[in-house]
Amino acid sequence: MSVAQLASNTRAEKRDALVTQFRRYTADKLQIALFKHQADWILASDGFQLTGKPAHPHATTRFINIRNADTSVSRMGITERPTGPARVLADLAAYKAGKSWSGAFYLAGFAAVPNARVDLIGLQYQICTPEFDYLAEFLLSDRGLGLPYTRYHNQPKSGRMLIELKSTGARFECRSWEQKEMLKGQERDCYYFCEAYMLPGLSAFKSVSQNLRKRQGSAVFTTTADRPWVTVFHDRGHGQDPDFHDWHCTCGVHARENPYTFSQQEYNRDHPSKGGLMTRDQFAVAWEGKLGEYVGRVYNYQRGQLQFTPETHPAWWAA
Amino acid sequence: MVGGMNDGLRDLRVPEHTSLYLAADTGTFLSALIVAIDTDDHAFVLAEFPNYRYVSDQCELNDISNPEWANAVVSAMSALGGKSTAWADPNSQFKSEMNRYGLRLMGNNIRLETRVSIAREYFMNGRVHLAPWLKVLPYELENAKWPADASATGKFARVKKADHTLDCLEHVLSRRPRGIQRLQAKKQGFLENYLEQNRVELAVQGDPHLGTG
Repeated sequence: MSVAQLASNTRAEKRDALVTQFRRYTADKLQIALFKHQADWILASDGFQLTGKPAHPHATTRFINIRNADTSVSRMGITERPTGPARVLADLAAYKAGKSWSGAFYLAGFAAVPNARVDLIGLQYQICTPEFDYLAEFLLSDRGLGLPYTRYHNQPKSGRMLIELKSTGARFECRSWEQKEMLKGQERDCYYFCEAYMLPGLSAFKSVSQNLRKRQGSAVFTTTADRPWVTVFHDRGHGQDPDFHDWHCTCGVHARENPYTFSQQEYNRDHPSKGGLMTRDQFAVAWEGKLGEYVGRVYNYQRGQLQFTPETHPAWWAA
Repeated sequence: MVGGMNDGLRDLRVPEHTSLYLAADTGTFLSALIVAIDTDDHAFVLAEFPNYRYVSDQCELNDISNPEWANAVVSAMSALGGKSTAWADPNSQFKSEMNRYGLRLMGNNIRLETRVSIAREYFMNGRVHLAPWLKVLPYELENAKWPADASATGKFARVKKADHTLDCLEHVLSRRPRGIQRLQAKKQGFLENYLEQNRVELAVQGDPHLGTG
């Protein structure tokens, strides 16, 4: 390992530690308890994972407060992620499951990093609005941390959406994919892709990932599984592929997990088996956060299905 | 095999009374598909021969020349005992070139909407089975999409994108292939046909010496 590489690693580790600490501070100060799916992907970025079990009642570390579907809060145990912190993170969830909010909470951690550079990329500037508004609320508002800033613009129509903090110089800026050529030749700590399914595919990430290399930054995709290409995160983000050990996927998140926006009445209105408004495909994506059931598909087929094997069709195989 | 694909094909035993069909899609991106139809008219996709692969949802050409590709298709089809005659787009510009390598392309005049519609029938009735070593066809099947709206001329055909191997499957299925090649009646000429239709049974004449008994 070269000296430059070592220095880069150390810098990235320090930054990650700072981001994690500041995020914990934010959660404590604003009394935030994440939903389980939100905690799952944010912890992966910190190099941790949920144990799936309640934390020990007397534990002072290795636990996280989780907001349950009935709005109660429980302490859940966490453990180290075997392959270290994840740098490519995906949260594939139903509509209104709290993706944008958790994305903004994640980004707020970078406020503590001196001269941090974070870009929120959307198909158009307006697409970044929910995340950017939540972020401004976390960092700048009186309800939030109330940090002083040198610049704050929130004008989606004119493409000026920027927060620059006074204390650390950390800058959060919204970028439009329609002007993707402007994204080249930068150096970034994080790219956050808003409504990632709208983007043309993984090429959106590939075309800017080189900008993350020097600072060993991360890329975050929080989206519904409206387009087939998002399965690329699911295929690589569950640890089966050793070449993608720093990818993480949280998927199949039901809309019910966010009790503040879930409506049983609307759920029933849309449910296809109750004569609802939605087709099965649409319902699976919109309410159940499912992967593989895509709106607008020609064939009702998912990879791995319809295979004939020696077990299913022995006549086709030589003895 | 092309790009190490279809490795399990050598372990396969095509059952008796099964018909083999071949389809090809030609152009810069080439692909071919071998489909077997059993006696119950179920389609078994045995092998695929794309000259490309998908890398992060983008099509990338493999390093294989057209003759190599055609030879791989022809030899696989011959090894299975089938003829190297493939259904293809009627306007294929590769007919004479492929013919040189022993691969005959036959134009399938069924239009895209109908091809897709028939292929969907097969899927809806669970009559398509895929060999486990297929990689490109499953990807294309999963990603085949309808357009947002009908075209200006009212057509509503699936989006033509990342579909070269899928095209091959639709070509085969759109012919509604049969497992057993049924024997066709021998064609009769006009005279034989006329005589058969105007056949008159003659009254049986008894022997005059023995009576009509």
